[in-house]
Amino acid sequence: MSNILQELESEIASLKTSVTKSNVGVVREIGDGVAKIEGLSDVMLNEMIEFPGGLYGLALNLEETEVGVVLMGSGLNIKEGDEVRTTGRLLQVPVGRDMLGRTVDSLGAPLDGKGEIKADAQYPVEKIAPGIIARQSVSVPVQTGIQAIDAMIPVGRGQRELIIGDRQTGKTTIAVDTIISQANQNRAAAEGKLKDHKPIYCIYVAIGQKLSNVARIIQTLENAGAMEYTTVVSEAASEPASKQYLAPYTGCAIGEWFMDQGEDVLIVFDDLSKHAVAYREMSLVLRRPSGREAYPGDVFYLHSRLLERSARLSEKEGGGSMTALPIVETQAGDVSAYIPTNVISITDGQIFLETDLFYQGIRPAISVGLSVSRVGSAAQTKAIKKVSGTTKLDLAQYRELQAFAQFGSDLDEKTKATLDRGARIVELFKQNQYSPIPLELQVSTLWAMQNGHFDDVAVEHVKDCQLKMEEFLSTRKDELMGKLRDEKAITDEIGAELKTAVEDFKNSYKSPAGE
Amino acid sequence: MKGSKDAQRIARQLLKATVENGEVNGGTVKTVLRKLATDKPRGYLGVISAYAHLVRLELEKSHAVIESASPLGGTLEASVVADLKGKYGEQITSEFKNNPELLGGMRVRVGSDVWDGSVRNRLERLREKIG
Repeated sequence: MSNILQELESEIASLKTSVTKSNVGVVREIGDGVAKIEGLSDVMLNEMIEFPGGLYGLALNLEETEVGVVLMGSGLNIKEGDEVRTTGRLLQVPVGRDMLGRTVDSLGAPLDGKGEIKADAQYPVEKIAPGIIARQSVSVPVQTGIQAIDAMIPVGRGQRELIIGDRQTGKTTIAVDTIISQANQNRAAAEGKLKDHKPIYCIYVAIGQKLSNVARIIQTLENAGAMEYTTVVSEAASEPASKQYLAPYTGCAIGEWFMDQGEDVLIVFDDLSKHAVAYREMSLVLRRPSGREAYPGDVFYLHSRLLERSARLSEKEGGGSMTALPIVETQAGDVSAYIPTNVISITDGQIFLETDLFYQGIRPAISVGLSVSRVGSAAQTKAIKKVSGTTKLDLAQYRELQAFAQFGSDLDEKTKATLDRGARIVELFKQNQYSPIPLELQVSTLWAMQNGHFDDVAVEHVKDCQLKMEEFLSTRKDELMGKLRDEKAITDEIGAELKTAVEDFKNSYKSPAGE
Repeated sequence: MKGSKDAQRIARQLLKATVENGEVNGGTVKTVLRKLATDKPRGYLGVISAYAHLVRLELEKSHAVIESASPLGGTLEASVVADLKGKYGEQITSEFKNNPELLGGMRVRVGSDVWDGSVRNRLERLREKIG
């Protein structure tokens, strides 16, 4: 009984209120989502400001007699003369494991109608990136499930790989495929089919996108069973610029919680060009000086401080990691525009998608010449490294020679061989959307290609042959595939078995033309 | 509303000359205004309005607005003013207002600091705590 009394007393004590001191200001001007406040003598930069009616704002400009505050909502009910007050808090969002499978806005509030989210902690939206001592180099791969990327432009855990290209070239598809691939691997690992696999949780941040697009992506993730490992942070095009500006930082905060728990995270920012546009809008309304393309001077810092937060932490710090896949849209393939060059210089490589390739039916439309991964090759598994060593070079040579071949001149044997090999690699790297290929099948296909097993198949039948071979290997040679999956390397024994398996298949293979 | 940058700069300099030991000197303000009105330098209207804005903000820093639900009465008012003078200095001016919306208690505003001991504020905070 005394316990109950004690609890009651402490409850009552906590409810006792006394005189409070607060710092207030008065709204002098309001418009375009920005309020100019007079007063607020104790305000801090980036502090949350409380408006009447429970609306919050962010103090971004501290001037001599005024404070420029961006509103985190519509602000239709705010009038000149309204009193606002400081909260003494920086913007924080709820984070935790409950976030998985949910869709939230940039303040961490649920948008999916699935009820309240139980937060494990509150994390500040703006945080300084982990320092040098806290990091270790990238050495574990992120299997994207996209053969062209895993073979030629590998991505490692903790890396920042930019996906860049014109509109409608499949940028989002690459990101969504990667998320689906992670979910497939996480599930396989949970079922005990994948040895030594650390799960990767995914965060998809949609900035300034059409709501229909976001709904479609969520549906795709749900259909693929990937939503249970994914958090979607969405600020659609109809939301105020201030909320769009915050969305990637919110996503980052949610990811950092997992990273601090020693887990691995993949975060997709879709897309940073719209993020820069939202920030430009805010800055212009705040009357900050504008620079190139009317972007404010600190638009580089805007993205560098965001992307620096992805890291691979040392074992002492828990060994977690956050891999970032920012997306940037170019206009007419111009990578030398302001935002693309900024983000290219911040990231550890880029996957460049080309409209021409896309319409030639080469999908994913990855441009081999312009795409690069600066750290990922250190993270490639032995098996992939062994079979894909010269692929990028082969393809680059093929593209160069292709120009000659167009003249229809007589070609020597060596050139012809390079062209034949190149055409087949291009066919092998074509892949349907939302169907990531597991590591062992990628290795087998690349091995077969390297060892000339596709050379006698007509170019137009290569894809058919590849698909049938994948089916053959995954149904009839399950044991071999299991070994490859566990070893992640082609040992002499596996190599010999692979040779027999591929030869077995080739003997029984009949192309659609009946050859 | 803000006027040109030049007007702002001049108004700031004038304010500096007006404030002595953290207090606005009424005599200097009058002199400044008279001088501006007779000499009429370029853009003097902008300067005057910017100056007026700055002087108002400066005065507000040492002006206390004391709101209460019902009139406080002479002795209580005197003790409140004495307390405020002890805290913010002798130069502080005060103004008493009646605000029945507070329900009870007192709310004191000095510059942008607010000391809120009103019943309404306490009830609101109680509501926040209970959720």
